[in-house]
Amino acid sequence: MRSAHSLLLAMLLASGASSERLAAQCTTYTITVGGGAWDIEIDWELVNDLGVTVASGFAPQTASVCLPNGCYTMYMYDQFGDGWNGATYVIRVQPANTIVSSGTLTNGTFGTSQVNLGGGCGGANCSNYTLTITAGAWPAEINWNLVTGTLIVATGFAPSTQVLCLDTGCFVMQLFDSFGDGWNGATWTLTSSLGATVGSGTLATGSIGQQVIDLSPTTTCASSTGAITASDCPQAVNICTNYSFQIDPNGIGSLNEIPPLGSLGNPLLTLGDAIPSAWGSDNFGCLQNNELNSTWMVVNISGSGSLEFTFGGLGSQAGFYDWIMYPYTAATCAAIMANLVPPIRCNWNNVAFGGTGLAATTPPGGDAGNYEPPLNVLAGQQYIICFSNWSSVSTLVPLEFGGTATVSCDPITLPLELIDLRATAETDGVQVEWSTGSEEETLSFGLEHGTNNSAWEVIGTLSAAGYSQSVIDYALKHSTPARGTNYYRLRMVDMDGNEVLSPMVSAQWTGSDAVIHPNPSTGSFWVPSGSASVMVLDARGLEVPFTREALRDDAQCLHIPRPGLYTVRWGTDGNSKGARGRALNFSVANTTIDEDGDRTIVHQFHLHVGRELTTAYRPAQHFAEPLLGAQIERNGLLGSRGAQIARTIALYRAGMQGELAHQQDLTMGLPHIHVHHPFLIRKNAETHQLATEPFQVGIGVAHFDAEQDQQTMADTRMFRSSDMHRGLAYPLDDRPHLRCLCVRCGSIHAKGAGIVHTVQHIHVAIVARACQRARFQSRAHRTTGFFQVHTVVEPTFPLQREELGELIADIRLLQIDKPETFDTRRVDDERRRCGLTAVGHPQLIHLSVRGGVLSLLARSTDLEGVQVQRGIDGVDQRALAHSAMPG
Amino acid sequence: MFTGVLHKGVWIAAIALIGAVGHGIAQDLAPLHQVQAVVDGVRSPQHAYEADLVLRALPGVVLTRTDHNTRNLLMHVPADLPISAAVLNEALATLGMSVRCYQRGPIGQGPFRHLDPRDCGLTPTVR
Repeated sequence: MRSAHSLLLAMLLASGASSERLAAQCTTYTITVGGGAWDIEIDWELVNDLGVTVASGFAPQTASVCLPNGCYTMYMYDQFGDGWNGATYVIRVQPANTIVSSGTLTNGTFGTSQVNLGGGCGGANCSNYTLTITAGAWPAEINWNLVTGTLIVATGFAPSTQVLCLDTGCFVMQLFDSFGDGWNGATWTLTSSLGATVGSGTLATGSIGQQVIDLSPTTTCASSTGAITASDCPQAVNICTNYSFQIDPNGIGSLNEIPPLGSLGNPLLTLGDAIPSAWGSDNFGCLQNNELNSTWMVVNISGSGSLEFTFGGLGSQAGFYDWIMYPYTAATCAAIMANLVPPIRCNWNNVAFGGTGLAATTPPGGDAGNYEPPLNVLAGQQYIICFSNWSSVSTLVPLEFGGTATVSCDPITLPLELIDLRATAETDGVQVEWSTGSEEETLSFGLEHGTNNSAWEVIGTLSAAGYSQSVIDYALKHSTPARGTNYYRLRMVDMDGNEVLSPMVSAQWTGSDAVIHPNPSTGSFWVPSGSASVMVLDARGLEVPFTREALRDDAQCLHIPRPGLYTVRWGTDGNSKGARGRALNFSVANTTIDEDGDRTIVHQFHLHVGRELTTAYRPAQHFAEPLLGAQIERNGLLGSRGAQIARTIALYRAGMQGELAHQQDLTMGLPHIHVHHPFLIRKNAETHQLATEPFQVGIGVAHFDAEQDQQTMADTRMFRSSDMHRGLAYPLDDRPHLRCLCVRCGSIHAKGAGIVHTVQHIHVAIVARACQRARFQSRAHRTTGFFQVHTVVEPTFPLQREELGELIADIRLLQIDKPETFDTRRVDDERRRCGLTAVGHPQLIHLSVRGGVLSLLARSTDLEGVQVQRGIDGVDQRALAHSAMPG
Repeated sequence: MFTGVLHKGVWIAAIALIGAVGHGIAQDLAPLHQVQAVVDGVRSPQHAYEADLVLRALPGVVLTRTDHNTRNLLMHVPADLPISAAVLNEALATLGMSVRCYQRGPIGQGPFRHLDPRDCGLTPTVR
């Protein structure tokens, strides 16, 4: 049982406004959380409309808190990722002890629920309504949302009674039954403050239903449309953000549009192999099983920018939602069927939860394997998505569009349609070409150039055709590009003086002696001279075989099958010229034999060498995580979105300024870069999202080889400040400590919080002898005075759920500035805090801080060691203590 | 941009004409086999994902998907990989799962269809 002090009920007076509200009047509420099979996995926090956490804690517990009327959000977390397993939160107003809000996390790692205290939700002119959901015969199966537009007003389960202050308008009551046999007598009723019933209903059968509530005095609300059945491409529906998008097992329609697996239009991809998708990500491919239950959707771009979207986010994904996305025109459907158009993005889900889509950063609770990099789009463009409901579920799929691009719910017509923009390095400069599909009152194009993606200068201007409904091509030659990466964009001006900037493209110009093209390539490239004296060397200087695919008078086309960094030499006199070529995507597969010599472990690292992306690779090293590079790529912030390859790997901080954090010359061979920087990145103002200040941390998976004096770490993950809040469920004057580290069913859970100074980054590494695959999650927050680490590692230990073990440490000495060492004398206390009984699995020995490095040591029959490290920017990492404790 | 709607007859003709050409240029698939089975014992999406992690760790396995909704397992494996129902059952035993109706064959041989758990002796989920 957790002690009561683990609950933070801080009445955080984050602003004057909240201070006044709190001081003016508050009502006492009790918050009860628990009652499930796995309460130990539960965290929660209650956040007010200012984004301030007013209460947080764990389970089981009951706490009392005095809160002003307001609209709050309950954030529910589950460490294991399988929901709350029957646990609930119940908020009762005192002294009446009536339930004002309740809910649960039915699945996944994360969910939210609106909590309306004293009618605090709604606009200035809202009216109070009471929403009552009765229990029926099987209340545990019931879930519901009250939605208006794109806003989820309230959500919960049964039984429940909530007082809601609702504005006039159209609302939709979304009804769910997890067993799929309706609500079994349960009902919902919305009554006005005068006692009039304004809406009521039930879910008679099935697992999902929607019912419209009309609170609009002037308009008639559209009735619920039910599931969308746009099963064929020509009947595709226009979509925009829609939290009520409904699907069911509707089949494939009358057309089977998607080309066969392995074709141009539906490529065969393999997660973790050396062949990325055309857009640079590593995934399981597109529609591996073609269409099963398909819905075709058209996305209309109304504002240029980076397009992101999520299907089934915020814990609502109920099955495998595979999708494939193509550029869309009137001819697209025929082109797809004819296998003439490749997808521009697609995803074959890695997991059936956490949502799927395009994202620069994997959303909370999401799996990186379900997300593809954002897509740079232009206003007026259209895209079509074939969404395949692989699991044949009937459910709502909230669609949410984000990024800097905007999406119109209806097709739009813009004066200018830019259909192509590209920059090509040539021997005498960079050729920039673009095409318009249509023009209306278009005045001119200004071509702008920059070398660092921030300072731009106009290098040329072309007059536009002005009016056109056909494709027009334009080109400008930049005769004085800089050596290295050159960036270009168009400033498109219309006759009214309005200006629109195009997306940026880049070209790598190596100088007038640049003779390999394309460079990078996908394996085939041209070199000058028809001479047969050509030699291709790999990064180690060893000659590699190649084939000659074509021969011209002035050039020959060579092919190298394996991605990599190569030096090509050619000539006829033995003193051959040389130039470097680089494959578009750079992958390394490394095979090692483990220490016992009885198993071969294949580690593959995607090294997409681009101006924005990097990862680390060193041969002959053991990794707990075999796909770190790919994960970095999927994280998107570092993902390369272009095909231009630089001579250097540059790691950019993910901040608004795109600050260069690290750069390394590639010309000397394989790169070795530590990705270990915490990044503060853009704020996300989307209303339903949790964070006011997302941030990113670097996590290292380290194996320190004393003989070779080397270690490698690479991974970055995105977290939100709300993740940080809930870990601060400790007295703020407490010293930093790792609260507990538990092993359960193959998972190790570590949690900690504390106070340090100027923490730059935290690395957590667990090297498991039996570990072939592990998953790391870590949270850290860089701010003055505070940090926390929350780590979940899931090696594939052969542990049963019943075989609970734990690592518990009283780590109160994480004053980073001081060299300190301590042991785990307070283990018993911490065990009680964790609420678990140790059964002899990995034990933490001690944690030390020395030279800016935290080292956390453990021993067990399963673990070689556990390390927690802190590094310093710009300084080589060294693990001062490598744990290799005997079993 | 979508600027007009073709007549239905034009659509059909265009699709038929272009499709006859386009499908001929499909890439050659790697020699992969598709494994299908029904999984007994799947409790949740997370539990299914644990099964995927276990199965993906088996040497040679290219792709796996374990679905808690349909209780179907799909795998892509090299044609020469000696994997069997027994191998899967051994791997999944620690998760309390087992497979039924194990099937294996080349991928891309006709439309994909889920297996019906009822045909494999599994009863519908009961409370």
